Amino acid sequence: MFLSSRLGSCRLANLPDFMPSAAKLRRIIASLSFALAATGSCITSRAAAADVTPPTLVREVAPEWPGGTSAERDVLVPVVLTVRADGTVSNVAVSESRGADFDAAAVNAALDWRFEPARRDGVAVAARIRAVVRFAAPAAAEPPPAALPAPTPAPPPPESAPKPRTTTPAAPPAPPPGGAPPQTTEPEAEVIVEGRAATPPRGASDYAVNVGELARVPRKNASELLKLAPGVYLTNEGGEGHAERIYLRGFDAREGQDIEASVDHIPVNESGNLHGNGFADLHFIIPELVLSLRVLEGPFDPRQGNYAVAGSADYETGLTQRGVTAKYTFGSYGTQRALVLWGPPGESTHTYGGAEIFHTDGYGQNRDATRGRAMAQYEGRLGAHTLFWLSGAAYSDSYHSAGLLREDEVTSGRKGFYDTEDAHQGGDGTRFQLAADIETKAGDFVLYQQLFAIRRAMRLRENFTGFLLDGQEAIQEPHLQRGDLIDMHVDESTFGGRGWARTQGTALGQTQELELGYFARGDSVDATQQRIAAATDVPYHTDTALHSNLADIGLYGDVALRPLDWVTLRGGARIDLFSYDVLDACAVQDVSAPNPSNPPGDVSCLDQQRGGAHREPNQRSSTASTKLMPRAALLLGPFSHVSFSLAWGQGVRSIDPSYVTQDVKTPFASVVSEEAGVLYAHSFSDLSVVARSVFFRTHVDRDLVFSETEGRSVLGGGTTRTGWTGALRLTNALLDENANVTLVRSTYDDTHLLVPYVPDLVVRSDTALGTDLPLTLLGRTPRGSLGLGVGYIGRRALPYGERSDTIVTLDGSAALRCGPFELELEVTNLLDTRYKLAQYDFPSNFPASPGAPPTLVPARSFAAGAPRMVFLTLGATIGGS
Amino acid sequence: MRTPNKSTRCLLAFVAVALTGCVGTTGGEEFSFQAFARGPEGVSAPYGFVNGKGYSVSLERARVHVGALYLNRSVPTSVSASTSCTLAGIYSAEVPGALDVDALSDVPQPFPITGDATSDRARTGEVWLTGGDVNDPSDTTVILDVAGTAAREGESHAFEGKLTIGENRVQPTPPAEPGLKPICKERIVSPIAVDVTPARGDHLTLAVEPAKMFANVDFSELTPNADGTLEFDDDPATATPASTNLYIGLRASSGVYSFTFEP
Repeated sequence: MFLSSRLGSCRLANLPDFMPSAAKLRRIIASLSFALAATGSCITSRAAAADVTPPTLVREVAPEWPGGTSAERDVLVPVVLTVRADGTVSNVAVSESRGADFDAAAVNAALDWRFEPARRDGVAVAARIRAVVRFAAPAAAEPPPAALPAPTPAPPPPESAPKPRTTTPAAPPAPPPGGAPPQTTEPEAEVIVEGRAATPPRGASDYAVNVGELARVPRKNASELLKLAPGVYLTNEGGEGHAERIYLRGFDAREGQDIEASVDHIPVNESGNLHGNGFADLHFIIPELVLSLRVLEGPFDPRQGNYAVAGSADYETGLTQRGVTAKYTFGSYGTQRALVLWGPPGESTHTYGGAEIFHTDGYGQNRDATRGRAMAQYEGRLGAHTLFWLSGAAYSDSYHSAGLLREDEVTSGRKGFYDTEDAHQGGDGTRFQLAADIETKAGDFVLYQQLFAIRRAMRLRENFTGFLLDGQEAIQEPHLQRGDLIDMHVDESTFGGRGWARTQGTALGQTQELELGYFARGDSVDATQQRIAAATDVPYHTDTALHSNLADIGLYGDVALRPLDWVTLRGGARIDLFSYDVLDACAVQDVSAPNPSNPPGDVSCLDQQRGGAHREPNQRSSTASTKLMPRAALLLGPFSHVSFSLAWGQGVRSIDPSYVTQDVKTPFASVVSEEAGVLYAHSFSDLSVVARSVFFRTHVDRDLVFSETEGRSVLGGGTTRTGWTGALRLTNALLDENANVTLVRSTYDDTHLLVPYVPDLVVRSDTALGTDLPLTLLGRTPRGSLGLGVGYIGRRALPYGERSDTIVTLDGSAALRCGPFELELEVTNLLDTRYKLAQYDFPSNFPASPGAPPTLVPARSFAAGAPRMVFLTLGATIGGS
Repeated sequence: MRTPNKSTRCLLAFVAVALTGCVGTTGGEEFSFQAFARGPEGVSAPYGFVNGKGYSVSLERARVHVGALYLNRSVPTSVSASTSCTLAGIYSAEVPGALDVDALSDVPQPFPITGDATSDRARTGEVWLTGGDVNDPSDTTVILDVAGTAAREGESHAFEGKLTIGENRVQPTPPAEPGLKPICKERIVSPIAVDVTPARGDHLTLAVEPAKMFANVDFSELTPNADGTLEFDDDPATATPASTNLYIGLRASSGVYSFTFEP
């Protein structure tokens, strides 16, 4: 967020050394504090002091004098730059030119600076600041006269001369070489925080993860960024274009049904999706356009709405690299990717465009995929106190899927490890969305409003059970098993908005905050599911045909009470109304006494009732219910950089429209979650350390259980999770390390047996190293980067007392950037481990020979993890920093 | 005694949590087992018995072609409204392989493949009498092959019979319900009441009692062939009641087939 956030209003003591004089700062701060008082964006005097700190310089890099020679006096180049949330610098724009050579050298130097990033509510945020790059003269003891420097480069300084020094004081700049004396300017002590308003943290399980250099760790898609949060494991048996199945802290959240997912607050979950109510396909996100994500592992924030059962994840998009960047990737299994990113220089990092075309033949059988996606956003200002965003995204994909493979067939040699049981599996999908947000200060309030419109279509063909489910019905012509391939299609239009008003004031000598907000969305969904005959590809049966009009309208209030300066009680309540109007176009599929002439043959959706009396084949059901969800978090500290938190909250997952019955109150799935955590955050010179430890417990009254016959998860009984999570983030100029461990025990309430498929031990480490290399290439100093991702998944509980295999994965990358050019080598599954990404246990029948007796007893099936793959990316950037 | 320091205590706490997180079960077991079939205990050819019609039968050949065995967790019911070949419940054991069972031998005859089971208690057994696709009516595999002599009131007759379950067993159905009587229902002997709980290391034995198949066979109803041997008719359209009763006996869900799961 940002607002006209001249967050120079923040804590004086933390102003960096290069900021201007204290007197001027005080004037600025005073005016800003007055202007922005009582807004919730860290813009009041007390709030600002409490919540926002500007960036501080931790590493200076001296600029190189153009031509390698220095003048007799300093040359100062004023710049505006963005300090990313990870402390690196981007989007450097020269405010006043000192000549092309000086400008370029100044930009290059500034890009190598490193900062302790600005922090808002303790969370690192990107900030735009003014600074000055100083080209220091060899002997600059005395201020030089205001005269032009030598028009020709001065001789290089002697070896013994002091090296150029880079500072950013508020000193008058020298006139440009060869140009007219510039107007003396003094850099302003303003810090403009970019992006939408940060959400106040809810305790130790509120992970605001800046991607930063960790983008170097190879990831297939934006879903995999979720692994930066503890306890996340992803599987995918549905193919390259199928949404990842997400396991989060003991939850089998399916394809997002138990995680509220959003991108820049635009909802991703698809209400009424037949594959899973709340299905969240994140593949439309271009990973390079993700700046950060906030993962809250529990329903602790009143802003969280439907599907926030295991928690929520909100992606913040943006592009730090300015200019036009083009990348081409090619690699294993015919994989090719063309990517173009565009960040207008001088604009916010939240103004960007990007488009991608991707194709892969896929490893093994039936894993080819083709997709295209584009995202764009413009961040603009209206006056001094208003920011707005216009964004859009387009996505289309088509893919095939290997699905699940029975282990015994691989063991017997009938199938290869990367084979498929049914080559008809796959899918297609499109998503188009537009959104507009505006954030403004009005009086004592900061107001935010967002409107969004989403069109989404999805087709999915999956076959989990082979040839088991095509039972002979009396009204059907006698037939053999025709195959269990499910052909599911969802066509959905979503419109909605959200908004909030935030204010704050002082009581008990502390800043107290209040936010009131709403969320509203409406969904019009057509969903069908048919069965496809394996021999002919012809649909032979309609399982489901629903048209649903769904609404979710929520109101919430959130307060932050601070009785003492080290005690904050955040909390409030949210109430949601869910309404359903569902037309089942195939309401009758069986009658006990059919009429001799009706139904005709194998018709799925019957137009008769008991005894053969006529009826229409459809039936409409409607209902509505409300759900009140209180949530609270107690934050204590910090005490010597250590904070403690207790959090408690209730969440909800709305019901699948296929379960709706006329006038029967919607049976929500409700979750109650509680946790206790401790957080340590401190910076040692240039090393930033954030460590967390969280103990948690979560109870769901109606959990979802995977049903292979339905091809999705269906309502089951209550479950409880208890566990512990530890997380560590280390960041400095060289290293960025993000590591976490999660231990959890998930059990059914009635039997106290383990919930199957959920990993009880998840370990993840993402490491990025980056440094300037001690060599010169093309007249420039190249920068080398390494990325390494390590994942360990313990043996997951499977049905019938079984355990899955352990999974260990290593992915690595090496990149070399020199000027505008970049070369990156990525290797996934470095050890070429043959592992089973997902393992299930259920009855399936893929007969070895036609007519062989079926296999009806549960057996192990799996989705093969990808073998080692190598990708090479060539990139170039023009026109930007 | 030394008191563990703080870091040691933290480590122990971590290990304790780790252990509690990584133990436990979802319940039950999955395993493979050996499967056998045999005739009645102590029987050998010729197998003599008196049937319900007063015949002293001496069986010299009784071979039953078993296509597969299944055990289901659901409680057996005598009447099933469903026309599906398989039960709606969860199957807990299966032997999806064929075996020609010599029902006149009490020596366990192994199925050619191992079976698979879960440790769930089974309440219903199924014997699949099929030589191929249970849904394909065209299969002509001989399911029952019997021969022997039957004597009553001083009269003795040799008999033999070969029964198949194919097109010959397809039953007419009402026009509105063409799928009411699929051939699979003829081929699957179910529900057979069982009460067994598969356990790892145990083996499954199917016992076939051929005498029960002849319980209601009146041999006098059979027609002798050219060499005077009484012959069971495999065509229901022309079959005598005796032939029909043998077929009914072959498919009897009680008395003919029994399952044991033993170490």
